[in-house]
Amino acid sequence: MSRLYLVTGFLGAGKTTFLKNFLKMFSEKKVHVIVNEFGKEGIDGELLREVGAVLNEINNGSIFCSCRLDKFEEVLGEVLHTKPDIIVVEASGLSDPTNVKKILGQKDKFQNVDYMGSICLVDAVHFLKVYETAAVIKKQLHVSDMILLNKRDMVSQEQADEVRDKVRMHRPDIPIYATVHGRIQKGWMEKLEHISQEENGEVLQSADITLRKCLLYVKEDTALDILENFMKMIMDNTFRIKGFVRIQKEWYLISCVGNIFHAEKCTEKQEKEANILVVLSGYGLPVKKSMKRAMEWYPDVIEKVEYGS
Amino acid sequence: MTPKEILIQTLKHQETEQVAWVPFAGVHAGRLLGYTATEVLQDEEKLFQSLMEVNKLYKPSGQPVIFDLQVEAECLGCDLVWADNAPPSVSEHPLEGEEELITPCYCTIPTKESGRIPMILNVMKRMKEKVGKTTALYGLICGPFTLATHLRGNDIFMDMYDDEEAVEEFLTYCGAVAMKMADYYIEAGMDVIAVVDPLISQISSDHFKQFMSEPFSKLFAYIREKGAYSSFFVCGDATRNIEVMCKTNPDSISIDENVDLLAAKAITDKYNVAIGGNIPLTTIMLHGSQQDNMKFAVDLLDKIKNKKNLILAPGCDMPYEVPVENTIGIVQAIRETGSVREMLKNYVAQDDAIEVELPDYEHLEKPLVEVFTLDSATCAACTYMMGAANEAKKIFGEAIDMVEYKYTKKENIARCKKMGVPNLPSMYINGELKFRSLVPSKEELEEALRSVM
Repeated sequence: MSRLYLVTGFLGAGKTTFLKNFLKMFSEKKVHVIVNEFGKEGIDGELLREVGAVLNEINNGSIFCSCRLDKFEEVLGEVLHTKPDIIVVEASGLSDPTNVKKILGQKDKFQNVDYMGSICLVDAVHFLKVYETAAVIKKQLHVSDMILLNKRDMVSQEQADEVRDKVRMHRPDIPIYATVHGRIQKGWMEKLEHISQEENGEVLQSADITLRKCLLYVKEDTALDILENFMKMIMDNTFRIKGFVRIQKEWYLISCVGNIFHAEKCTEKQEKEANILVVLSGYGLPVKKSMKRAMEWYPDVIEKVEYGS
Repeated sequence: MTPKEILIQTLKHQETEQVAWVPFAGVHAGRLLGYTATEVLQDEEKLFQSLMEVNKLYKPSGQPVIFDLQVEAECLGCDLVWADNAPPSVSEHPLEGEEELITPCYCTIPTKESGRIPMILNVMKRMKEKVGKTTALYGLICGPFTLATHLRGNDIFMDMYDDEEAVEEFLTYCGAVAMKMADYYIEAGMDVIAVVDPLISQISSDHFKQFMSEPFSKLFAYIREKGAYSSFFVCGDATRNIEVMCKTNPDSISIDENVDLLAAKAITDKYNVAIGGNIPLTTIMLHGSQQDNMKFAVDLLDKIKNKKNLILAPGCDMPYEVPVENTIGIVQAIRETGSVREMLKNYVAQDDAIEVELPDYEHLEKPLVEVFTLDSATCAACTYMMGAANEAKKIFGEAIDMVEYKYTKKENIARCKKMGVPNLPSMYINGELKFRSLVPSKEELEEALRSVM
């Protein structure tokens, strides 16, 4: 039997950092990680290789395709052949995990899976903002069995309480633990031993058409501070910006959550990954307009912008 | 010749020995077996049983499997409000209020697993097996413009002026959704794909040509290529758009009582497109007697000399409460036109003569907006006309009065007559007809109100 954990959480909630901690709990075991993140960009996958678990990526070319379950089923099937002790599935931050129990409940396909539950990362800093705009958050909460209120150190007691109340409103029945840097304690895991295998009621599958993606192609000769200035003009209207850039001959991982810009030097990446930043946004965030303005201010930063997927 | 063959021959634009008959029994199908609208639109077994009852009682040449324009919208995240005796309506439009109209990712297009589609496909397959030989089955899909309005809300009417390019791109997406739905339904055995787009009656011919001609032409060509027949359903006063609709090349068009069938048929005949309609839903089917219904059908058939390319049908989705005997009367009138004509020759319809009092428009305390609708809960065109009025009410608050008169009530029918309301939906301000079958943009309505303040 392989024990399967599902990790959900909105964009930038800290799923990758959490995973690094989480996997350490299974250091003696044979672990497989299935990542479904950012489609072809596969950035999180890259970071995860450091942890040493076997990694499978689902790159179906579209981050909204929670509906593309066939691909997930295919990868899970392959993983099960290798009989791992533990399988951890990291869902895309925008995916709708509504049907996870239904899929895993197909005993003819997945008889060797013991579903341990879903751990949902909630970003204490940005939750209240994205809660209003992204319907998928409610769906993630809906299937969860444990909530980790992450980045607790970055918000006031008042805000932490407000986030907790909001989450409680949806799920008064499951434990919520406050944490920092995506840490999880062994004792918390015990709660997952007894989760119900029942489906969480019949929920119709629907898509969230308010989520948007665009790709920014960054020019190679852009200075980092100029890129930062450019990003600052659009960040308020995004959930997440992520990708590798090679500018002025240096490689950086750019990773912004909400209005916080973050860039760090990194090792050389594949050429095809270079200088493409994925920008994700949604309802109430007029990213197109702010992008236009930023391009007027900084006309030499961006080669081209591609909307849609 | 089976009833189905009559319809198919009509759609092939050939002469037929009898007129094809397609009762649009959507939620009304449920009533035949005592199920609510919500039950019949959500429960596979109840829907199937109800449709079989329709087939038995109304002997149709063609029959829709589900009449609910909200199926696609629900898959795309619209919140629906359900009712016992009407189809659901969209209560929350996911893209409404957004500053920018951005076309969603094509990966969000519904799959066979989305929303209620699995249930619908099952019922289609079962119907095909049971009655598919004798009855042509209609798969109804939500037309691109109505879907766009469901997703974007009343803002779409402003977008058509402010951001034409974004609207074109968005309608292409909605057209792609429609094509996908057509695929699923044709695969499940549907003979006719009806593209139901009531909102078409709410835009001008120029806007139609600018925004709709292309997506609709593509859609009908696609349906034909897939081997099915097509129909373009509108409701409301689409008179001005009949010709441009013909030019998108559907096999047939379906209209309601807001359009003069005779005049419209002259146009559709010119383009060799079949036309269906237009038995009045409320005054005749819902409130009339069985004789009224038979008489209407016989009179209509007598008026139309050239019966090639003609389908007799209700104007739109039949009201839930239509008395069974009324529809049966229509069936009788089609099958036995001669004897029914003879039977009714001395029949005079009763006039209910309800007295209504009109407001004293000359001496109103504040501007009065009166919206005359078929029913804003059930007719999409009416929903958005009412939506525009509600938006204005939010802005002007107590400074204006607003009222909706639904045609489903007898006294409102009398009021419409007394006011001389030409079409539904229509909006009056201080007793004067201001917007007739054209949903005003926010600015237009606000300006009209300010001018009388």
